[in-house]
Amino acid sequence: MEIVVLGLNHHSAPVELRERVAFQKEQLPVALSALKKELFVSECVILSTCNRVELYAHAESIPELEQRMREFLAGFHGLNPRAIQNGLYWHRQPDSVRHLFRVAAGLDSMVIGESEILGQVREMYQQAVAAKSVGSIFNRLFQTALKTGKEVRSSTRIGQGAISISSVAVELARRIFQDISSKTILLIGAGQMGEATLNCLKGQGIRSILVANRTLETAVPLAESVGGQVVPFAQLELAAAQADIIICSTAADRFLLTRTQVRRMMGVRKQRPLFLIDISVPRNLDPQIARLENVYLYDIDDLEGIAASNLRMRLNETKVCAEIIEQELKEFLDRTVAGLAHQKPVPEPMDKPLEELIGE
Amino acid sequence: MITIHAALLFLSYAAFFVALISGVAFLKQEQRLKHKDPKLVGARILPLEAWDKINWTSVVAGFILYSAGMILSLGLAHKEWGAFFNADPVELCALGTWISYAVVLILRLKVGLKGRRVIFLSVMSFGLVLFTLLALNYMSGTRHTLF
Repeated sequence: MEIVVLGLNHHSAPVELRERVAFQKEQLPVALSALKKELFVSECVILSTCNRVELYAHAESIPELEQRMREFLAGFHGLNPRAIQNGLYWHRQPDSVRHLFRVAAGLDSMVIGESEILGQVREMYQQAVAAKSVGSIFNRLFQTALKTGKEVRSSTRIGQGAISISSVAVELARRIFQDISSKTILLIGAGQMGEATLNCLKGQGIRSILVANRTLETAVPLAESVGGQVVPFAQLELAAAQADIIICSTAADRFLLTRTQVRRMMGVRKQRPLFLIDISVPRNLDPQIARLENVYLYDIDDLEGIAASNLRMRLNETKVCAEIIEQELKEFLDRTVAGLAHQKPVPEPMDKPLEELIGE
Repeated sequence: MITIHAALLFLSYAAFFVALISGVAFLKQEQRLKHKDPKLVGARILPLEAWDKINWTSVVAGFILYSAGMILSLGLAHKEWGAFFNADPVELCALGTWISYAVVLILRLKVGLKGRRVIFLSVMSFGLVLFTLLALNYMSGTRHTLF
Protein backbone atom coordinates (compact mmCIF):
# COMPACT_ATOMS: atom_id res chain seq x y z
CA MET A 1 0.00 0.00 0.00
CA GLU A 2 1.23 3.44 -0.77
CA ILE A 3 0.10 7.05 -1.18
CA VAL A 4 0.03 8.23 -4.78
CA VAL A 5 -1.09 11.34 -6.60
CA LEU A 6 -2.11 11.90 -10.18
CA GLY A 7 -2.81 15.42 -11.30
CA LEU A 8 -2.20 18.47 -13.39
CA ASN A 9 -1.56 22.06 -12.42
CA HIS A 10 -0.72 25.44 -13.88
CA HIS A 11 2.86 24.33 -14.48
CA SER A 12 1.98 21.18 -16.38
CA ALA A 13 -1.20 22.00 -18.27
CA PRO A 14 -2.87 25.02 -19.88
CA VAL A 15 -6.12 26.36 -18.47
CA GLU A 16 -8.10 24.89 -21.42
CA LEU A 17 -7.16 21.43 -20.24
CA ARG A 18 -7.45 22.16 -16.52
CA GLU A 19 -10.99 23.43 -16.81
CA ARG A 20 -12.08 20.33 -18.72
CA VAL A 21 -11.04 17.96 -15.96
CA ALA A 22 -12.03 20.18 -13.01
CA PHE A 23 -14.56 18.74 -10.57
CA GLN A 24 -17.53 20.82 -9.54
CA LYS A 25 -18.32 20.79 -5.85
CA GLU A 26 -21.51 18.78 -6.35
CA GLN A 27 -19.68 16.21 -8.47
CA LEU A 28 -17.22 15.39 -5.70
CA PRO A 29 -19.24 12.84 -3.67
CA VAL A 30 -20.02 10.83 -6.82
CA ALA A 31 -16.47 11.06 -8.08
CA LEU A 32 -14.97 10.05 -4.75
CA SER A 33 -17.14 6.98 -4.32
CA ALA A 34 -16.61 5.98 -7.96
CA LEU A 35 -12.85 6.33 -7.55
CA LYS A 36 -12.95 4.20 -4.44
CA LYS A 37 -15.13 1.46 -5.94
CA GLU A 38 -13.80 1.25 -9.48
CA LEU A 39 -10.12 1.43 -8.68
CA PHE A 40 -10.17 -0.48 -5.38
CA VAL A 41 -8.30 2.27 -3.60
CA SER A 42 -8.75 2.23 0.16
CA GLU A 43 -8.78 6.00 0.64
CA CYS A 44 -8.96 8.98 -1.71
CA VAL A 45 -9.24 12.77 -1.82
CA ILE A 46 -9.81 14.97 -4.87
CA LEU A 47 -8.23 18.40 -4.85
CA SER A 48 -9.81 20.55 -7.54
CA THR A 49 -9.17 24.29 -7.71
CA CYS A 50 -8.75 26.71 -10.58
CA ASN A 51 -5.05 26.02 -10.77
CA ARG A 52 -4.95 22.27 -10.16
CA VAL A 53 -6.82 19.00 -10.28
CA GLU A 54 -5.24 16.23 -8.24
CA LEU A 55 -6.36 12.77 -7.24
CA TYR A 56 -4.77 11.48 -4.03
CA ALA A 57 -5.17 7.79 -3.34
CA HIS A 58 -3.97 5.20 -0.89
CA ALA A 59 -3.86 1.95 -2.79
CA GLU A 60 -2.15 -1.32 -3.42
CA SER A 61 1.04 -0.60 -5.34
CA ILE A 62 0.34 -2.18 -8.69
CA PRO A 63 1.95 -1.23 -11.99
CA GLU A 64 -1.36 -0.37 -13.68
CA LEU A 65 -2.50 2.08 -11.00
CA GLU A 66 -1.28 5.16 -12.81
CA GLN A 67 -2.98 4.15 -16.04
CA ARG A 68 -6.20 3.29 -14.25
CA MET A 69 -6.34 6.60 -12.46
CA ARG A 70 -5.67 8.43 -15.69
CA GLU A 71 -8.49 6.53 -17.38
CA PHE A 72 -10.75 7.35 -14.46
CA LEU A 73 -9.97 11.09 -14.61
CA ALA A 74 -10.50 11.23 -18.37
CA GLY A 75 -13.52 8.94 -18.32
CA PHE A 76 -15.29 10.88 -15.59
CA HIS A 77 -15.20 13.99 -17.76
CA GLY A 78 -15.93 12.10 -20.99
CA LEU A 79 -12.46 12.61 -22.41
CA ASN A 80 -9.99 10.38 -24.15
CA PRO A 81 -7.15 9.44 -21.70
CA ARG A 82 -4.63 10.29 -24.38
CA ALA A 83 -5.97 13.84 -24.61
CA ILE A 84 -4.90 14.61 -21.06
CA GLN A 85 -1.81 12.42 -20.90
CA ASN A 86 0.73 15.14 -21.64
CA GLY A 87 -0.31 17.50 -18.90
CA LEU A 88 -0.34 14.94 -16.11
CA TYR A 89 2.16 14.20 -13.41
CA TRP A 90 2.32 11.12 -11.24
CA HIS A 91 4.03 10.88 -7.89
CA ARG A 92 4.51 7.86 -5.69
CA GLN A 93 5.38 7.78 -2.02
CA PRO A 94 7.24 9.70 -0.65
CA ASP A 95 7.11 12.28 -3.48
CA SER A 96 3.32 12.24 -3.39
CA VAL A 97 3.28 13.23 0.28
CA ARG A 98 5.93 15.87 -0.26
CA HIS A 99 3.90 17.24 -3.16
CA LEU A 100 0.79 17.59 -1.00
CA PHE A 101 2.76 19.35 1.74
CA ARG A 102 4.23 21.75 -0.82
CA VAL A 103 0.79 22.46 -2.25
CA ALA A 104 -0.67 23.12 1.20
CA ALA A 105 2.20 25.46 2.02
CA GLY A 106 1.56 27.48 -1.13
CA LEU A 107 4.95 26.63 -2.65
CA ASP A 108 3.31 25.09 -5.68
CA SER A 109 0.93 27.99 -6.22
CA MET A 110 1.01 30.38 -9.13
CA VAL A 111 1.33 33.27 -6.66
CA ILE A 112 3.95 31.72 -4.45
CA GLY A 113 3.10 31.69 -0.76
CA GLU A 114 -0.58 32.58 -1.22
CA SER A 115 -2.82 31.42 1.58
CA GLU A 116 -6.02 30.57 -0.27
CA ILE A 117 -4.81 27.11 -1.15
CA LEU A 118 -4.64 26.07 2.49
CA GLY A 119 -8.36 26.71 2.86
CA GLN A 120 -9.03 24.87 -0.38
CA VAL A 121 -7.08 21.82 0.79
CA ARG A 122 -9.07 21.86 4.04
CA GLU A 123 -12.35 22.14 2.17
CA MET A 124 -11.53 19.31 -0.23
CA TYR A 125 -10.46 17.13 2.68
CA GLN A 126 -13.73 17.87 4.49
CA GLN A 127 -15.65 16.98 1.34
CA ALA A 128 -13.86 13.65 1.26
CA VAL A 129 -14.59 13.09 4.95
CA ALA A 130 -18.27 13.78 4.26
CA ALA A 131 -18.17 11.33 1.35
CA LYS A 132 -16.57 8.76 3.68
CA SER A 133 -13.65 8.24 1.30
CA VAL A 134 -10.93 8.82 3.89
CA GLY A 135 -9.69 6.57 6.66
CA SER A 136 -6.95 6.66 9.24
CA ILE A 137 -4.06 7.15 6.80
CA PHE A 138 -5.57 10.04 4.90
CA ASN A 139 -6.92 11.64 8.06
CA ARG A 140 -3.40 11.75 9.33
CA LEU A 141 -1.98 12.73 5.94
CA PHE A 142 -4.27 15.72 5.41
CA GLN A 143 -4.16 16.88 8.99
CA THR A 144 -0.37 16.82 8.80
CA ALA A 145 -0.49 18.64 5.46
CA LEU A 146 -2.71 21.38 6.92
CA LYS A 147 -0.52 21.64 9.99
CA THR A 148 2.60 21.82 7.82
CA GLY A 149 1.03 24.48 5.62
CA LYS A 150 0.19 26.56 8.66
CA GLU A 151 3.61 26.07 10.19
CA VAL A 152 5.41 27.05 7.00
CA ARG A 153 3.35 30.22 6.80
CA SER A 154 3.79 31.17 10.42
CA SER A 155 7.48 30.39 10.83
CA THR A 156 8.72 31.76 7.51
CA ARG A 157 8.01 34.90 5.52
CA ILE A 158 6.73 33.01 2.48
CA GLY A 159 3.29 34.63 2.71
CA GLN A 160 4.48 38.09 3.60
CA GLY A 161 4.93 41.20 1.52
CA ALA A 162 2.57 42.18 -1.26
CA ILE A 163 3.71 40.94 -4.66
CA SER A 164 1.19 42.54 -6.99
CA ILE A 165 0.92 46.21 -7.91
CA SER A 166 -2.55 46.58 -6.46
CA SER A 167 -1.78 44.83 -3.19
CA VAL A 168 1.38 46.90 -2.78
CA ALA A 169 -0.78 50.01 -3.20
CA VAL A 170 -3.21 48.77 -0.56
CA GLU A 171 -0.38 47.98 1.85
CA LEU A 172 1.09 51.44 1.39
CA ALA A 173 -2.30 53.05 1.98
CA ARG A 174 -2.51 51.11 5.23
CA ARG A 175 0.87 52.47 6.30
CA ILE A 176 -0.41 56.01 5.79
CA PHE A 177 -4.07 56.06 6.75
CA GLN A 178 -5.58 54.95 10.01
CA ASP A 179 -9.10 54.30 8.80
CA ILE A 180 -9.10 53.69 5.06
CA SER A 181 -12.85 53.11 4.93
CA SER A 182 -13.50 56.77 5.79
CA LYS A 183 -11.30 58.05 2.96
CA THR A 184 -12.21 59.34 -0.48
CA ILE A 185 -10.59 57.87 -3.53
CA LEU A 186 -10.32 59.41 -6.99
CA LEU A 187 -9.75 57.27 -10.04
CA ILE A 188 -8.47 59.15 -13.07
CA GLY A 189 -8.69 57.28 -16.37
CA ALA A 190 -10.18 53.94 -17.32
CA GLY A 191 -6.98 51.89 -17.36
CA GLN A 192 -7.42 48.28 -16.35
CA MET A 193 -4.69 48.37 -13.74
CA GLY A 194 -6.21 51.47 -12.17
CA GLU A 195 -9.54 49.74 -11.83
CA ALA A 196 -7.90 46.65 -10.34
CA THR A 197 -6.11 48.80 -7.76
CA LEU A 198 -9.33 50.61 -6.96
CA ASN A 199 -11.14 47.33 -6.42
CA CYS A 200 -8.36 46.17 -4.14
CA LEU A 201 -8.73 49.34 -2.07
CA LYS A 202 -12.49 48.92 -2.07
CA GLY A 203 -11.84 45.66 -0.29
CA GLN A 204 -10.66 47.82 2.62
CA GLY A 205 -14.13 49.29 2.90
CA ILE A 206 -13.79 52.56 0.98
CA ARG A 207 -17.25 53.90 0.14
CA SER A 208 -16.54 57.34 -1.27
CA ILE A 209 -15.32 56.91 -4.84
CA LEU A 210 -14.90 59.57 -7.52
CA VAL A 211 -14.23 58.79 -11.17
CA ALA A 212 -12.82 61.17 -13.76
CA ASN A 213 -12.21 60.42 -17.41
CA ARG A 214 -11.61 62.56 -20.45
CA THR A 215 -14.58 61.06 -22.27
CA LEU A 216 -17.81 61.00 -20.34
CA GLU A 217 -19.06 57.93 -22.25
CA THR A 218 -16.30 55.89 -20.64
CA ALA A 219 -16.55 57.51 -17.23
CA VAL A 220 -20.24 56.77 -16.68
CA PRO A 221 -20.14 52.96 -17.09
CA LEU A 222 -16.84 52.83 -15.20
CA ALA A 223 -18.33 54.76 -12.29
CA GLU A 224 -21.31 52.42 -12.32
CA SER A 225 -19.16 49.31 -12.26
CA VAL A 226 -17.06 50.49 -9.32
CA GLY A 227 -19.93 52.17 -7.49
CA GLY A 228 -18.52 55.67 -7.80
CA GLN A 229 -19.56 59.15 -8.77
CA VAL A 230 -18.48 60.86 -12.00
CA VAL A 231 -16.64 64.15 -11.68
CA PRO A 232 -16.00 66.42 -14.67
CA PHE A 233 -12.54 66.05 -16.16
CA ALA A 234 -12.29 69.82 -16.59
CA GLN A 235 -12.48 70.29 -12.83
CA LEU A 236 -9.91 67.67 -11.96
CA GLU A 237 -8.10 69.79 -9.40
CA LEU A 238 -11.32 70.50 -7.54
CA ALA A 239 -12.17 66.81 -7.35
CA ALA A 240 -8.60 65.87 -6.49
CA ALA A 241 -8.64 68.22 -3.50
CA GLN A 242 -11.46 66.13 -1.98
CA ALA A 243 -9.59 62.86 -2.39
CA ASP A 244 -7.17 61.20 0.02
CA ILE A 245 -6.04 58.60 -2.47
CA ILE A 246 -5.66 59.33 -6.18
CA ILE A 247 -5.10 56.56 -8.69
CA CYS A 248 -4.05 57.73 -12.11
CA SER A 249 -4.15 55.35 -15.04
CA THR A 250 -4.68 57.09 -18.34
CA ALA A 251 -3.14 57.14 -21.80
CA ALA A 252 -2.47 60.87 -21.67
CA ASP A 253 1.01 62.01 -22.68
CA ARG A 254 1.22 64.96 -20.32
CA PHE A 255 1.04 65.69 -16.60
CA LEU A 256 -2.56 65.87 -15.43
CA LEU A 257 -1.60 67.31 -12.06
CA THR A 258 1.38 69.55 -11.53
CA ARG A 259 3.28 70.42 -8.41
CA THR A 260 1.68 73.86 -8.20
CA GLN A 261 -1.78 72.37 -8.43
CA VAL A 262 -1.11 69.78 -5.73
CA ARG A 263 0.41 72.42 -3.48
CA ARG A 264 -2.78 74.43 -3.85
CA MET A 265 -4.84 71.31 -3.18
CA MET A 266 -2.91 70.60 0.00
CA GLY A 267 -3.84 74.03 1.29
CA VAL A 268 -7.51 73.30 0.61
CA ARG A 269 -7.30 69.95 2.35
CA LYS A 270 -5.51 71.45 5.36
CA GLN A 271 -2.35 69.37 4.83
CA ARG A 272 -4.06 66.06 5.47
CA PRO A 273 -1.88 63.30 3.97
CA LEU A 274 -2.39 62.54 0.29
CA PHE A 275 -1.45 59.27 -1.39
CA LEU A 276 -0.92 59.40 -5.15
CA ILE A 277 -0.59 56.30 -7.29
CA ASP A 278 0.54 56.87 -10.85
CA ILE A 279 0.31 53.68 -12.89
CA SER A 280 0.28 55.34 -16.27
CA VAL A 281 3.13 55.21 -18.77
CA PRO A 282 4.14 57.89 -19.61
CA ARG A 283 3.56 59.30 -16.17
CA ASN A 284 0.57 61.57 -15.62
CA LEU A 285 1.55 63.04 -12.28
CA ASP A 286 4.50 65.38 -12.12
CA PRO A 287 7.32 63.61 -10.20
CA GLN A 288 8.10 66.94 -8.55
CA ILE A 289 4.86 66.51 -6.57
CA ALA A 290 6.71 64.01 -4.40
CA ARG A 291 8.75 66.82 -2.87
CA LEU A 292 5.69 68.38 -1.26
CA GLU A 293 5.08 67.69 2.40
CA ASN A 294 2.46 65.14 3.46
CA VAL A 295 2.25 63.94 -0.13
CA TYR A 296 3.30 60.40 -1.02
CA LEU A 297 3.68 59.76 -4.72
CA TYR A 298 4.37 56.29 -6.08
CA ASP A 299 4.71 55.53 -9.77
CA ILE A 300 4.55 52.19 -11.53
CA ASP A 301 8.29 51.60 -11.18
CA ASP A 302 8.17 52.18 -7.43
CA LEU A 303 5.29 49.76 -7.01
CA GLU A 304 6.82 47.14 -9.28
CA GLY A 305 10.14 47.54 -7.51
CA ILE A 306 8.51 46.82 -4.15
CA ALA A 307 6.56 43.89 -5.59
CA ALA A 308 9.71 42.43 -7.10
CA SER A 309 11.70 42.83 -3.91
CA ASN A 310 8.95 41.06 -1.97
CA LEU A 311 8.86 38.25 -4.51
CA ARG A 312 12.62 37.82 -4.18
CA MET A 313 12.16 37.70 -0.42
CA ARG A 314 9.51 34.96 -0.79
CA LEU A 315 11.68 32.98 -3.18
CA ASN A 316 14.55 33.19 -0.71
CA GLU A 317 12.26 31.72 1.91
CA THR A 318 11.43 28.63 -0.13
CA LYS A 319 14.60 26.92 1.05
CA VAL A 320 13.59 27.22 4.70
CA CYS A 321 10.08 26.10 3.76
CA ALA A 322 11.47 23.02 2.03
CA GLU A 323 13.42 22.14 5.17
CA ILE A 324 10.28 22.32 7.32
CA ILE A 325 8.46 20.18 4.79
CA GLU A 326 11.23 17.58 4.74
CA GLN A 327 11.13 17.43 8.52
CA GLU A 328 7.35 16.96 8.59
CA LEU A 329 7.57 14.46 5.76
CA LYS A 330 10.07 12.36 7.62
CA GLU A 331 7.99 12.40 10.79
CA PHE A 332 4.85 11.54 8.89
CA LEU A 333 6.43 8.66 7.05
CA ASP A 334 8.04 7.30 10.22
CA ARG A 335 4.74 7.38 12.06
CA THR A 336 2.75 5.97 9.17
CA VAL A 337 5.21 3.17 8.63
CA ALA A 338 5.17 2.46 12.35
CA GLY A 339 1.37 2.44 12.22
CA LEU A 340 1.51 -0.14 9.46
CA ALA A 341 3.91 -2.30 11.40
CA HIS A 342 2.29 -5.48 10.21
CA GLN A 343 3.23 -4.63 6.63
CA LYS A 344 6.69 -3.24 7.08
CA PRO A 345 9.42 -4.44 9.41
CA VAL A 346 9.85 -2.35 12.54
CA PRO A 347 13.27 -0.69 12.73
CA GLU A 348 15.70 -2.68 14.82
CA PRO A 349 15.72 -1.28 18.36
CA MET A 350 19.45 -1.77 18.61
CA ASP A 351 20.01 0.64 15.70
CA LYS A 352 19.37 3.48 18.10
CA PRO A 353 21.71 4.57 20.87
CA LEU A 354 20.74 3.41 24.34
CA GLU A 355 20.11 6.94 25.63
CA GLU A 356 17.50 7.53 22.98
CA LEU A 357 15.69 4.32 23.88
CA ILE A 358 15.58 5.29 27.53
CA GLY A 359 14.36 8.72 26.55
CA GLU A 360 11.45 7.19 24.73
CA MET B 1 0.26 73.20 46.77
CA ILE B 2 3.84 72.36 45.96
CA THR B 3 2.91 68.70 45.51
CA ILE B 4 0.20 69.57 42.98
CA HIS B 5 2.66 71.85 41.21
CA ALA B 6 5.19 69.02 40.94
CA ALA B 7 2.55 66.43 40.03
CA LEU B 8 1.10 68.54 37.20
CA LEU B 9 4.51 69.17 35.72
CA PHE B 10 5.49 65.55 36.10
CA LEU B 11 2.33 64.46 34.22
CA SER B 12 2.97 67.01 31.51
CA TYR B 13 6.51 65.67 31.09
CA ALA B 14 5.05 62.20 30.71
CA ALA B 15 2.73 63.49 27.97
CA PHE B 16 5.59 65.29 26.25
CA PHE B 17 7.58 62.07 26.41
CA VAL B 18 4.77 60.23 24.62
CA ALA B 19 4.81 63.04 22.04
CA LEU B 20 8.55 62.52 21.65
CA ILE B 21 8.27 58.78 21.05
CA SER B 22 5.33 59.02 18.65
CA GLY B 23 6.98 61.95 16.92
CA VAL B 24 10.17 60.02 16.31
CA ALA B 25 8.12 57.07 15.04
CA PHE B 26 6.24 59.40 12.69
CA LEU B 27 9.40 60.99 11.33
CA LYS B 28 11.06 57.64 10.76
CA GLN B 29 8.05 56.18 8.99
CA GLU B 30 7.41 59.27 6.91
CA GLN B 31 11.01 59.12 5.74
CA ARG B 32 10.62 55.48 4.79
CA LEU B 33 7.46 56.30 2.83
CA LYS B 34 9.18 59.14 1.01
CA HIS B 35 12.19 56.98 0.20
CA LYS B 36 9.96 54.09 -0.90
CA ASP B 37 11.44 51.55 1.42
CA PRO B 38 10.19 48.15 0.20
CA LYS B 39 10.32 46.72 3.74
CA LEU B 40 7.56 49.11 4.76
CA VAL B 41 5.04 46.97 2.92
CA GLY B 42 4.04 44.14 5.19
CA ALA B 43 5.68 45.64 8.26
CA ARG B 44 3.48 45.47 11.34
CA ILE B 45 3.50 49.11 12.34
CA LEU B 46 0.91 51.77 13.06
CA PRO B 47 -0.07 53.99 10.12
CA LEU B 48 1.34 57.48 9.82
CA GLU B 49 -1.98 59.06 10.76
CA ALA B 50 -2.06 57.15 14.05
CA TRP B 51 1.41 58.37 15.08
CA ASP B 52 0.35 61.90 14.14
CA LYS B 53 -2.78 61.61 16.26
CA ILE B 54 -0.88 60.28 19.29
CA ASN B 55 1.72 63.00 18.92
CA TRP B 56 -0.85 65.77 18.62
CA THR B 57 -3.05 64.54 21.47
CA SER B 58 -0.11 64.25 23.81
CA VAL B 59 1.26 67.67 22.87
CA VAL B 60 -2.13 69.25 23.61
CA ALA B 61 -2.57 67.30 26.85
CA GLY B 62 0.98 68.05 27.90
CA PHE B 63 0.59 71.73 27.12
CA ILE B 64 -2.60 72.05 29.18
CA LEU B 65 -1.04 70.28 32.16
CA TYR B 66 2.14 72.28 31.78
CA SER B 67 0.26 75.58 31.64
CA ALA B 68 -1.73 74.64 34.74
CA GLY B 69 1.49 73.73 36.54
CA MET B 70 3.04 77.04 35.53
CA ILE B 71 0.07 79.11 36.67
CA LEU B 72 0.22 77.34 39.99
CA SER B 73 3.93 78.03 40.20
CA LEU B 74 3.33 81.76 39.74
CA GLY B 75 1.18 81.74 42.86
CA LEU B 76 3.70 79.64 44.73
CA ALA B 77 6.61 81.88 43.76
CA HIS B 78 4.69 84.93 44.86
CA LYS B 79 3.90 83.38 48.22
CA GLU B 80 7.31 81.83 48.94
CA TRP B 81 9.73 84.19 47.23
CA GLY B 82 7.76 87.39 47.08
CA ALA B 83 7.60 87.82 43.30
CA PHE B 84 5.77 86.06 40.45
CA PHE B 85 8.88 85.80 38.35
CA ASN B 86 12.36 85.62 39.82
CA ALA B 87 14.47 84.83 36.74
CA ASP B 88 15.44 81.62 38.49
CA PRO B 89 17.24 79.30 35.98
CA VAL B 90 14.48 76.73 36.27
CA GLU B 91 11.84 79.36 35.65
CA LEU B 92 13.67 80.51 32.53
CA CYS B 93 14.00 76.97 31.20
CA ALA B 94 10.38 76.26 31.90
CA LEU B 95 9.32 79.42 30.11
CA GLY B 96 11.40 78.37 27.12
CA THR B 97 9.77 74.95 27.08
CA TRP B 98 6.31 76.46 27.31
CA ILE B 99 7.02 78.81 24.38
CA SER B 100 8.44 75.98 22.31
CA TYR B 101 5.33 73.83 22.68
CA ALA B 102 3.13 76.90 22.22
CA VAL B 103 4.81 77.44 18.84
CA VAL B 104 3.91 73.85 17.91
CA LEU B 105 0.27 74.59 18.74
CA ILE B 106 0.24 77.88 16.87
CA LEU B 107 1.87 76.41 13.78
CA ARG B 108 -0.66 73.65 13.63
CA LEU B 109 -3.79 75.53 14.63
CA LYS B 110 -3.20 78.97 13.17
CA VAL B 111 -0.71 78.50 10.36
CA GLY B 112 -2.25 75.18 9.35
CA LEU B 113 1.03 73.33 9.10
CA LYS B 114 0.94 69.61 9.59
CA GLY B 115 3.31 66.72 9.34
CA ARG B 116 7.06 66.50 9.35
CA ARG B 117 8.15 70.01 10.36
CA VAL B 118 5.69 70.55 13.20
CA ILE B 119 6.31 67.10 14.56
CA PHE B 120 10.05 67.69 14.34
CA LEU B 121 9.60 70.77 16.51
CA SER B 122 7.58 68.80 19.06
CA VAL B 123 10.39 66.25 19.20
CA MET B 124 13.04 68.94 19.60
CA SER B 125 11.02 70.68 22.32
CA PHE B 126 11.57 67.69 24.52
CA GLY B 127 15.22 68.70 24.61
CA LEU B 128 14.12 71.74 26.61
CA VAL B 129 12.17 69.50 28.97
CA LEU B 130 15.33 67.52 29.61
CA PHE B 131 17.32 70.69 30.04
CA THR B 132 14.84 71.97 32.61
CA LEU B 133 15.13 68.72 34.55
CA LEU B 134 18.92 69.00 34.50
CA ALA B 135 18.74 72.60 35.63
CA LEU B 136 16.47 71.54 38.45
CA ASN B 137 19.06 69.12 39.75
CA TYR B 138 22.47 70.44 38.90
CA MET B 139 22.36 74.11 38.12
CA SER B 140 23.60 76.37 40.85
CA GLY B 141 21.60 79.46 41.60
CA THR B 142 18.19 77.80 41.55
CA ARG B 143 16.04 77.61 44.59
CA HIS B 144 14.12 74.70 43.03
CA THR B 145 14.85 71.23 44.30
CA LEU B 146 13.65 67.94 42.96
CA PHE B 147 11.82 66.01 45.67
